[in-house]
Amino acid sequence: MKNIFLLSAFAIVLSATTGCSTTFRISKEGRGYMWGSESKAIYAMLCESGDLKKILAEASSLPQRVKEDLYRYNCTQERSGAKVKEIYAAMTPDERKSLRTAFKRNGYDINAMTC
Amino acid sequence: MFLRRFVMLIFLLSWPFYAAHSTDIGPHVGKRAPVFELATTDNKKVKLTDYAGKAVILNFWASWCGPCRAEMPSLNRLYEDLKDKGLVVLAVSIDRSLEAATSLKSEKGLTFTILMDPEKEVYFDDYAVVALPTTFLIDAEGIIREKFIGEIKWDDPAVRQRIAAYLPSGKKR
Repeated sequence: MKNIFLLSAFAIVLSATTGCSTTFRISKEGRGYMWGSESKAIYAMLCESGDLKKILAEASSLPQRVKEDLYRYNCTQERSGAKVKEIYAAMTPDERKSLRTAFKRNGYDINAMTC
Repeated sequence: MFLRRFVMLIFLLSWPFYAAHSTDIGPHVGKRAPVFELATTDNKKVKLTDYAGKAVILNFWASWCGPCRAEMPSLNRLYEDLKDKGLVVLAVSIDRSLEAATSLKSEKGLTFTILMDPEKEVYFDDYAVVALPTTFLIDAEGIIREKFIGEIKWDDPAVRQRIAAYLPSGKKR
């Protein structure tokens, strides 16, 4: 039991000190969130503001289906960080570029984090 | 006591490799490395294909990333040890400021090539990096052979051996 506790504590410390961030993070005006997070703050920033709709409309290389899924899993009752990550993982370099530049045009930065 | 230390050691050594294989975002091990062109800190253009025939360690980092800074000295030692055997290190900084990257270079006495990617074109679009540091080992044929996520002690004998296996003079394919 003691060994399990020690190993778990070690794993937590190790994972916290060996790298910065483990997923896709967006930030704007000093506020940063994990994309796909189910927090109210990111919902307000991306969804209530209308930013994500605008960003997806501008991301011309993204297939319509991907745009719809990204909106669904970020801004509706079906919000799911795991689904967002899944969609991101399947994107092509051109699609990622399109998404990144659309975020940028709307004042967002991607994976700029402090650790 | 011995068993506990042994388990911890195995975990410590294997964690970065486990982490690398536990995510499938970005170019996969066994696939061709996406080609790119970036500028060095001296504003010289460098292409990945310039290093065809050599093993390339492609490391993504930022000056504000503590683990990235921490692994730089051991990465430099590995580079100095293996550069004559065909190892190239390309460390891609996503810092917006050139000064942030160059000051770390001089502070740590780094001798390998540092490239600047402030717009995150290679980092995000081509390599889909979601954690820093992330490092790819690309063999002499341009194939990604390893992906490491998190801080690595690059001059650790076990890590060195894994890298050395992919040097042009190495046997592993």
